[in-house]
Formats: sequence, C-alpha cells, structure tokens
Amino acid sequence: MLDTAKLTGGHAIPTPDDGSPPVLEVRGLWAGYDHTPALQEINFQVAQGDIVGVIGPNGSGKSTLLKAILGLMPPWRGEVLLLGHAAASQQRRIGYMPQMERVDWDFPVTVDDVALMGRYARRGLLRRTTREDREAASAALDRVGMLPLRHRLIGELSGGQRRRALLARALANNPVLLLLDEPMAGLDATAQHQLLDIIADLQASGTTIVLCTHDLSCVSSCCVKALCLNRRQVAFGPPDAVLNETVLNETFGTHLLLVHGDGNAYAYGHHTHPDADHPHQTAASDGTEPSPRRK
Amino acid sequence: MLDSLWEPLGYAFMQRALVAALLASVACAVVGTFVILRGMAFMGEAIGHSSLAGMAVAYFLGGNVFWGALAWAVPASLGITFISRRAKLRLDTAIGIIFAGGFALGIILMSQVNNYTADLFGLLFGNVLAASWGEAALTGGMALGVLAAVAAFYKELLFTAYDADMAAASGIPVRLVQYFLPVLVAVTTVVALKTVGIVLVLALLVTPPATATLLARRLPGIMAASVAVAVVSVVAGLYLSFYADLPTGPSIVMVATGFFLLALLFSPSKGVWRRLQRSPPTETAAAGSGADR
Amino acid sequence: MIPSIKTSRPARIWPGAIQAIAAGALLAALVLLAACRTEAGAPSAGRMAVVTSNVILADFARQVGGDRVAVTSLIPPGVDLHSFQTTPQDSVTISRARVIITNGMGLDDFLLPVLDAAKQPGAVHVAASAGLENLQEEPAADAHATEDDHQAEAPHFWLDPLLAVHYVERIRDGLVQADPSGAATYQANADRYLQQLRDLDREIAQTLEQVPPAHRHLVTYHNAFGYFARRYGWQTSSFLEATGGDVTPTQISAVMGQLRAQGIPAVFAEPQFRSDVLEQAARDAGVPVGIVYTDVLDATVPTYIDLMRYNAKSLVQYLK
Repeated sequence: MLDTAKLTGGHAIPTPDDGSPPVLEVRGLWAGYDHTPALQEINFQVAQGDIVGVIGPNGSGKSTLLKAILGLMPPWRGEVLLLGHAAASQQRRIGYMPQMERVDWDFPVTVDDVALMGRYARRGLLRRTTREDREAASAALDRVGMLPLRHRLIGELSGGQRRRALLARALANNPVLLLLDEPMAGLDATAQHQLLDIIADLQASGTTIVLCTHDLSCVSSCCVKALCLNRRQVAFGPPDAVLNETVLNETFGTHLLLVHGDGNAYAYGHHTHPDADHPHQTAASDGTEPSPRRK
Repeated sequence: MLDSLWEPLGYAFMQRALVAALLASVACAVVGTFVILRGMAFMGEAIGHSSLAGMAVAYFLGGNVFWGALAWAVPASLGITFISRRAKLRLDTAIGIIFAGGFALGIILMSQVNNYTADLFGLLFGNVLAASWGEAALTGGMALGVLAAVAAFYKELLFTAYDADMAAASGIPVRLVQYFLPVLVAVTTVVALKTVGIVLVLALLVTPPATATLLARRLPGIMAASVAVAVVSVVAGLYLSFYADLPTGPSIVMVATGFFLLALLFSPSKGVWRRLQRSPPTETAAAGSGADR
Repeated sequence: MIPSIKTSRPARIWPGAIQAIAAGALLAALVLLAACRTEAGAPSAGRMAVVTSNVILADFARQVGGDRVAVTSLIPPGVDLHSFQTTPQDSVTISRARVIITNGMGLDDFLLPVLDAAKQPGAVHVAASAGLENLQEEPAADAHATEDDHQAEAPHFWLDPLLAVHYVERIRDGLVQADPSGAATYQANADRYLQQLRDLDREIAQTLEQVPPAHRHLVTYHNAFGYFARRYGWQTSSFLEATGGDVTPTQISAVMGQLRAQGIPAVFAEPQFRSDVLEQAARDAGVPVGIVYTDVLDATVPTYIDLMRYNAKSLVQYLK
C-alpha cells in the first residue's frame, strides 16, 4: 500500500503567490455509475499553464474524472472547483475533446460546423450564432492548423485531422481549462508530434490542460504533473517523482518493467484489468495505444 | 400538355390533397433528416403503428381520429424514450414493446367497431382524397408548428444529435432535447397519417432524407434536398395517381422510392454509377481511414 | 405548380443533385404521359351521372334509371369493398355525379369522407337502407360469449328481396329529385322492377322448399345472411359477426359444435373472400364448401336477380 499523501505532500501543492485560486481544484471527489463507485477520494490541484496527465488502465475512472469536472456527472461526495467556483456552473469556461470512438464520424457536418458548435452554448436557446462566433471558430481552426480543411466533411479527415477538428471546437470558446480524453490514442508518430506541438503552444499561451492517456511516455515528456488513477488516486505529482515502478504496478494492477532512456520512462509488461470497463466506456481503444503493451 | 398539368388542380379535392400532402411531407422531410441521422426510423414506425390505439379510441368515442392519434403518439414517444433511459433497455427493444402493444390494442378496439375491415383499412392506409379544408388546415398548422420548432431549436437539435456528451458539456439542455426530438417525430408522424396512413408513414419520414444524404453534404443542404425530394414526390405522386388511376398515398411513396433509387445510382458522391466510373480504387482509399461506413 | 417548386432549389446541393432530380422528374413525366389514357367514367352525352358504392346498388340504379342515367360503381365488380382504396379518378367520378347512392348502416360509411370531399354541391345523396329497421342479431351460435355492449348493425338488407324493394323505392325517389323531368320514366321502370323483385321473392321461397327443414341452416364465414334467413325462416351460423371484427377461438368452436351436432351437410364461402378458417372447418367437419354471393357481381351472376337465384340454387344443391 502506498502512501499517496506522502507522495503528493513531498511536492508541496503550488499555490500562486498572488493568492488567487488554482485553475482546477478537486477535493475529496467520489463519483460513479448506479451504485458502483468509479472514483474514490480524488484530491488534486492544477495551476494555470500546467499540463496534467491522468494515467491508468481502462476502467480506472479517467473518463469519469473528466465528466465529473465537466459537471456531466454529479459528484457523490466532494467538490470540483474551477477558479474557486463550482465547476458545474462554469461549464462554458471548460473546453472538452471527447474520445474518438464516442463521435459519430458519418454525421454530415464540416470542420467549420464542428468548430462553430464550440460557440453554441454561448448563444442561448432561439439565438443564432453571430459573426463573432464564426470568427472565434476560424481563429480556433487556425490555431490547430485546420483552416485550409474547414470545408471538409469530418468523415473525410484522417485521424490526426479529426483530433485537431475536435480540439478546435474545444478551443473555440476560449476556455481557461482544456480537457482532452485520449488525445494520442491511435495516432501515428507524425500526427502525435503535430498534436504535441499544438498542446505545447497552448501551454505556452497559458492554457491549462488535463489529458487522459495510456501513454506513459507522453506523460513523462510533456506533462508537468501526473495523476495515477485506479479508481482511487494512486499518486499525484511531477512525472519524475511519481512514475516509479511501485506506483505504476499499483496503478496498472500488475508488474511492469520500467525502462529509462532519453529522460522518458517506458513501461512494458503484461497486466490484467482488475475490473471490467465501466458500462459507459468503450473498450475500442484497447490495443491501439503504443504502451503499456499487452501480450 | 398544359391542360393536363392543370386539369387535376381544377378539382377542389385535388387542391386539398395537394396542400395537405405537401405540408405533411415537408414536415416529414425536415424532421426525417434527424430521424435517419439518429437511427430513429424504427421509432417513427412504432409511433405510427401504436397510434392505431389512440385512433381507435377516438373512433369509438366518435371523435376525430387525428386528435386520438396525437393524444396517443406524444405520450408513446415520451414513453419509449423514458423506458429506454430508465430500464436500461436498448432503444429498439423499448420501441418494439410500444409498437406491438399499441397496435394490438388498436386492433382489439377496432374489432369491436362496426365494419371492422374497411375502417381498419382506412386508418392503416389513410386517404388524402378525403381531406376537408379543415383537415388540410389542421395538417398545415401542425406541419408549420413542427417546422417552426426545428428552426427555433436547430442548433440544439444539431449539436445533441451529433454529440450529446459534448453538447451537455457545453451547457445545452441535452436531456430536454432528447425528449423533444421524439415528440417532434410523433407529431410529424400523426400529421402524415392522413396522407399515407399508418403503414406508409415511415416512407415519408425516411425516404426523402435518405435520398438527400446521397445528394448533399452538409446538414442544411441535406434538409433542403430532402424537402425538394418530398415536394417533387408529392406533386408527381398526385399526378401519377390522378392519371394512372392509382391510390394516392402509395403513388407518392413509389415516386419517392424511385427518386431514392435514382440517387443511389447517380449520386455525385456515393452513387453506384460514379463508383463504376472511377474504377481504380486508390482514389477512394485516400478518403481517410475512418471515412468508410 | 411544378416550375415554381423547382425555383426553390437549395443552395448547398451538389450540382449533380439537380441532374438527378431533373432525371427523376423526367421519368415521372414519362410515367404520367404513358398513364394519360382516356379517362373512364366521363358521362355520356345527355345522361345523368349516378355513382354508387357497390355494384348491387348500381344494378338497382340502372334498372330504375334506364337510358336516362350513366351509372358507375366506385367499388368495381368482383372487388370486395373491404380491400378497396379510392383513387383520384374515383373522386373525379364522384364530382361529376348528380346522384350518389350508398348502402349506409356501416357498410360503406368509410367512403363518406371521400364522397363529401369530392361531391358537387347540388348532388343528391341516397342512403338506400335509411328507414329500414335494423336487425337485432340473434346469437350466431349457442356459445355466443363475445361481448356485446354495442348494438350490432347488420347492413345486408338487400339479400331479402322485399327489403330490396325499399332500396329501389328510395333510389327511384332520389333520381326523381335530381331529374324531375324524367319522373315518369323512373316511376314506370321502378314499378316494373319492383314487380320482378316480388316475383323473385316467391320464386326463392319455392326453390328453398326443396331443402329439408333440418338442413335450413346457412353456415358462412361472415354473417351477411341475417335478413335473408329471417325472410325464409332459416338459421345462420358464422365465424364473424355481420358487422365484422376478428375471428375468435370461441366463435370457431361454437360453429364447429353446430356443424357436428346438427349434421349440416355443407358450409358456404363468398367468392371474393378466401377464408382459411372456413375451409379448415369444412375439412375438419368433412363437409363441402358451396358458394353464395353477397355484394359482388361477376359473369356468373351479372345482376342482383341472378345473384339471388344463384344463391337459392346453391343452397338447394348442397343442403338438399
């Protein structure tokens, strides 16, 4: 059994000097489906400009955590604060990019349409989108390099382009917090690098990002913090400090071999899922992620 | 030639039939676009068939079967949505239960009525030739109401249909929209009952939008093309029915089906003909890994 | 109408869409032209257009109207009214008629909305059965367990020739009302035909004398012979009430019980109604299936009088 408190405690939670609240604060969060808890007692804070990588096996509660932050799932206990306010009331300040598998790619909308959807909530019922909305959507497309493809149907895009189209939608509303669910899954190396570049740009411009991933190398290379989840919070802290064999074994529920090289940690090994996927998460991402690799 | 184009419209019953069928089919064409994108075709079918129960009750009490159908269809659509959300049943299972249950109840009620078969036929197949101006106005009013509702909530309907999670995450009242769309489908189905009857109502709801997806790319274009196909089908179907001495509702449906087959063959993007022309498969492969259905 | 629709073409459709729609419209136009045949039912010069729901009523109208009327039956000869769907040409026919004749009493009420939608303002509508006393249906079989809260209304008055007299009188009055100048002709034709009907009644009564009293029990699928049976002192059994509904297991077992208990030598089908239930019951009971006509005319029975004679002979042939 690991002492999570000691791990997080070892790296004092950074509180901004000016005393303003952290962008995201999760306190004592419990959430779940029906009567099954998918998250138990989650506590962490994210400062502005940080990138937090949430890591864990399928069914570990990664997507649930994002939904709880978005206010799509009411917490059983605890609270989620965005800049000090209940996150559920701040939905419009959060940008969200869902998993690829959850999107209907045959739907007859263009890249432009998708980006503009990011602005819909800003206009109430019965209101049409304005020129300002269309300009914001264009700017978001420009940031992810999708402006030249704006008139393409989403079904005609490659995997990386689809990801960037959804990212543009998440950015169209100028969010203070960006939630990315498995942004790297299934992408080839080139597309991954493109996306990582965009994420780095966003970070540089002050956007705070929480992303879920299976990819340890991604976490150790581009994230400021890592949150290791397996229904409960196994560890939270800078990747170098957190991504050790003990934590990873507890996160993934079995033995992994850690290989350090190029400053990145790679994990290999086999593991069994301690539990089935929760009912609302597809298992389609299985086998598509580069690591940890299963045999 | 011109005379034969105008002759049918010289009859008041043809004018009423044209008005009622046009308005009903336009409402179907627009709502049907969401129906086919959300895979709700079976729901429209179920609402139509189960409405027989409401029509039979109205018939029994000597009321207007239109209101009977409406009074049944709206709660039925809400019930289907509710059952599938709460009971953790698959949507098609919930639909099947309401479909068969309502239809069976309708048949039992109708079997207690005089001259069962002919009346049942009347309800099952409708007859737009029997429309009075009052009914045409009622059909038109409901159809315009449906169209206004779609126009008013277009972006909510679009976003929810496309990606409900994301729509909810950006603060759109998704739960409300998810109940609202089936109600729209229910009202539209009832509106079309007079024109084509219970059995063929699905054709108006599905065939024009399905044709349109073969002709246009974006949702607004698909809706417009769907409306165009519906309008041309109604007009051509009425003329076909008039000159070839065929029942009206089925004639409209057959023309719409003909358009669908034509579109399937000659669609600019997905047509069989186009696919045959560009035989080297490399071009289609470039369309992207996930683009194929 | 059509050109104005084409201008409302949506902006975002691919160019090919327009071609496809144009091709479809062309096809539809071809079908239309091919279908542009000479119209049926155009009134012959000088004759008064009369439309009836079925061929029996059309026969009556022709007998009374003679050369002064052109009669069209909406439900064509040989077609069962239950499977009938109207077309715009039917509505055109209705719109030209000066006299519209229906049976009423539920039989053809489903046509009323179509009639109302298409008829010309001054048209005379005759409900031929109006004023006749409705037959209170006797239980079709002993175990008549089904319902009934609603009063059964049997519409098949014409199968009793003396009630057909009432039909003819009402039709005569309707024709006179619409065409007073022909009153004398209609009166004379009607008188002659009414005499034929009264003769027919006596003739049928005589013919049916050949059936032994124990066998005077008409088993049909659908109980259309209530008035006929009352007139000639017969019994009836059927799987369906006169007013329709659906076959229930109770009814089947009741009819089968009657067949066996009374030793009825045959059951009867209507030519336009194929009934698996009736045929299976006949097979189970080991009796043949005869034919009786109700509301259909064909080459075998071109007129109402032929129909009634045929039925009487058929009953004698199978039940003697």
